Amino acid sequence: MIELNINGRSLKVDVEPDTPLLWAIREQVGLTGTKYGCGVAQCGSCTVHIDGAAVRSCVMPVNAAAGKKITTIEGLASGSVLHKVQKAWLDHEVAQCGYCQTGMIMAVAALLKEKPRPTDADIDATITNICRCGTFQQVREAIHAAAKA
Amino acid sequence: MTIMPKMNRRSFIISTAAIGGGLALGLRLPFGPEVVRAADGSPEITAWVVIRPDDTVVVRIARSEMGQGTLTGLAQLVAEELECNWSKVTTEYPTPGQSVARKRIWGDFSTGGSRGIRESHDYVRKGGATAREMLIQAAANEWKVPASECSAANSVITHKPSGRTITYGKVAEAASRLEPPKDVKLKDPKDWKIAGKPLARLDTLDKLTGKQVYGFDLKLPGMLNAAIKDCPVFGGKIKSFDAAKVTGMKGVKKVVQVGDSAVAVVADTWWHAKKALDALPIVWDEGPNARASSATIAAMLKEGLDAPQAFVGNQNGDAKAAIAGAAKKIEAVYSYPFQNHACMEPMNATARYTPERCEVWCPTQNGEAAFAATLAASGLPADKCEVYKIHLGGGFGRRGAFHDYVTQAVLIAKQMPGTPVKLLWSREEDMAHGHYHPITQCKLTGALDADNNLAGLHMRISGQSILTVVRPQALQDGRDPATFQGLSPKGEFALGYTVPSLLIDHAMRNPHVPPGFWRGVNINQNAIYLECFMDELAQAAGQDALESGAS
Repeated sequence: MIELNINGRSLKVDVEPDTPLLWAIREQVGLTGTKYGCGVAQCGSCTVHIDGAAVRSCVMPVNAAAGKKITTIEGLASGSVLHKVQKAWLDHEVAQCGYCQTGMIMAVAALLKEKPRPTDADIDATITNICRCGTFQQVREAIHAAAKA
Repeated sequence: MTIMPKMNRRSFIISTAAIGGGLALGLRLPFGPEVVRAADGSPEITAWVVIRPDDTVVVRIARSEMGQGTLTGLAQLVAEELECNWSKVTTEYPTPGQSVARKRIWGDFSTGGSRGIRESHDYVRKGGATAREMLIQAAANEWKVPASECSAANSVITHKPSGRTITYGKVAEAASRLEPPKDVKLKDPKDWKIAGKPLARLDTLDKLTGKQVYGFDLKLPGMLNAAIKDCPVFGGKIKSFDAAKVTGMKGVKKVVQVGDSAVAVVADTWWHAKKALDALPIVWDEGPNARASSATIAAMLKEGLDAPQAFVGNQNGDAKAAIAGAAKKIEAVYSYPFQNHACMEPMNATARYTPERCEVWCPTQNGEAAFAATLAASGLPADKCEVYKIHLGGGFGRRGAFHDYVTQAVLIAKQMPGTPVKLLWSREEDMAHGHYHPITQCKLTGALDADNNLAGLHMRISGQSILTVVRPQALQDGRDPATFQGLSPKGEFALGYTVPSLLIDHAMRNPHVPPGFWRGVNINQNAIYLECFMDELAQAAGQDALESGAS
């Protein structure tokens, strides 16, 4: 049993310690907003926050996250009030198929905490998530909008 | 026109277990005429429109939403004619099994080639307009006034002379019992208030909160998970595998062969299935393509660049003579690789099989094709199968013509009757078992005359034909017309240049790697070949490429 703190809840998961955090979140905890895209930390669909920092959960063993504060997309909003990144995403209609967007939003939320007014260069360097629909320009616009919000 | 009560609409008893409130049509009530109903009991006015007592309008969408906005666009078209309150509109997918049972009342489910709205706007608008007329008639009947004195706007029907009003939800039940009018007049697009307007998409919010359920997010009671490995060489087969080596691993339930070329591990979780699959000793018979490589395929295509025989796609004048007599001859060879669709959500499908019924839940661009794959793999007839469409994490053509992942899921589920099994491909499997955008090479030879005018052009494409593999019945005496997209003499795919002497031809060379339709299809490489070469010609002629292209 490994004890995890996810979205403010403490819970025990019965998995082998080397199970990727992604699969513990999806298959043990049952939160499916965190996506599997590549399994090798390239696409960013599985991005969650560990103690506030963006982490690609598909390559992080679950035991490395024990005792830390994990936030998934389901825990980003404050109740029914969207996080400012989600709000910007809604206002700018960023999502197409939407599959990568939860990871994208988590990555951006972490970026804005670190750098409240990121430049385009900051965005290029930090937001390396892959969107196969090609929403990158809308993502950029929405990041700047969220930064101003 | 007075709309008469419905006399003989068929009723359909189709049990469904779709997630998220799917349809259960034709529940026969112990009283009154037969009304087709949604799962929650709300009446269907037309096949496209269900109205709930609280005025919620449920628009049926036969095409698939995968990010392109078709779901919202089609709902706008129905809502426009329905004259309903847009804020009350929601959507649902009818199922292919119901479509078959109701003689394809929702038309084509196929979603690709930018045809979702283009090819169905007319009949979905009629579905909305017909429902509107029936609702107005139902209100008129209740008020005992002529329908011609009533009008509808924003989900409210008004009797103009008396000023009485009633909402759609109040008359939906009565409207559903009316015979639909035959000919309804569609609105003039200049009067549109909802259709054609840049409204917010209906399905955005759930995509931002993690609530949106994609195919591989599906959860069913008692469901197991499967990971699969197909032979790494196309055309190869399974020789043997040693299930005993992994059956003791944590969570593993069963190791099954899938067809003659794949093996799957079924486990409690996908991660356990994948770990066991990675540990499973498999011996492959790699078959006739075992020694094929990128180099052998490139050589095969290169040979085609100068081969004497080729299918002609566009021709005028005598390009070869023009080139032979050119003041200056320019030549270039380009190549375009295989490309994987690489949907962000890897291929997946969930199947539950019993000898009496087979159900599949999957992301698909074509529910009917997924249904056909389900029938074929299960061996059951159409009235014993159903497919429930789940939101797609990308399509790009991969989930349109090919339902190999559905076939596999059913073949796995057949080996565990009664247990729902969700098959998810790893990304590695997804990359290795695509139906790829075809590989081609292209040799372009241009003839400039003494004044640097383009006198002749020969464009020789060598490479793979999609239709030969995917739709051989569409070939024309062996020639694949789609190869010449953007290069044809006329029509939608016409060449944009006029050249005095022109020859565009295709030496078909089909490597063993399966090709498939992929966003844009053959325009992609053809445009790159042609436009890059036009730039090279302009440079050789000492002209600015942009100006030369524009002139």
